[in-house]
Amino acid sequence: MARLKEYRKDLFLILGVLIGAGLIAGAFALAKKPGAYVRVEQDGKLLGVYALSEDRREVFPDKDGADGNVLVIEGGTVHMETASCPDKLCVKQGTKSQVGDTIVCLPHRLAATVIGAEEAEGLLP
Amino acid sequence: MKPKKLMTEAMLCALALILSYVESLFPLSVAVPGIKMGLPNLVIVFALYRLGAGSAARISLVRVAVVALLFGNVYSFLYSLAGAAFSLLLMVLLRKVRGFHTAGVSVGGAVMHNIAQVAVAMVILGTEKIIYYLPALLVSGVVSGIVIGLLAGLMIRRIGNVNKLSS
Repeated sequence: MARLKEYRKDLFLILGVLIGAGLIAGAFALAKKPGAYVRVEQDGKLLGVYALSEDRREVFPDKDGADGNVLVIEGGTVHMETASCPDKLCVKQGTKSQVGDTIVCLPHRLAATVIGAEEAEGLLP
Repeated sequence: MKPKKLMTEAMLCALALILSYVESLFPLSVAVPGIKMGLPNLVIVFALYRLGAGSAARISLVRVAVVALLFGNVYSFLYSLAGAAFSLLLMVLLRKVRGFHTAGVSVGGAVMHNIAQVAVAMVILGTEKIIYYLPALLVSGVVSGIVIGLLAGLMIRRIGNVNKLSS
């Protein structure tokens, strides 16, 4: 155990980061509530706001005009069906429905965020 | 700068580049973007302890620039540069604190790398919601930081004085 004692400061740092991560995750979990709309942004520019209550399939072409990202709203949840990027991380991010949940596609700098009704009001036409 | 030091830095930089490439060959398939092993940090930690902060910074900067030119774009360059710069800054500071080993230094660097990248992603994507990924990234930073730090510690002990390597 003497060797472990030697690493006391390292262990404190590690524990500190893990506790911090736990606290942040806990705060996010507590703040969760079901969302009403999904907001899609690219490069910080608003592409559209779609109601979660209405099933739909939205295509966001990449710069070559091909199907870049295909976002699907189904039964009050949203997920990325396909993506033309190599890593497909946005597809793996799965199904989202809570306020604040985000699907990001870093290669296309596309972000789909679930938002509440109040937040959507100012964005809807 | 002495030619021998320049050559050692160039060699370590090449090693860091290869590790960047190796890392890109094994993408960790998880739902959170940005989780990676951090293999190049092995070289950076080693350089920090054996050659000093200046050398580590030069190696890191050249690695980031070359990786962006070879495999990336201007956005990936920004992510990497911010991650590398803040990560090295914290590692230099932690190294000066008595009682920290390479494991702690490397964990600090990995965690800082993730925090900086989340911050840059928030600016580039223009949405603050990416912060939801931070807890997962912090945990992955701790895990990869420990592994890389312990490995770097072994390398530093085994290889000894790098300036004498070629003589």
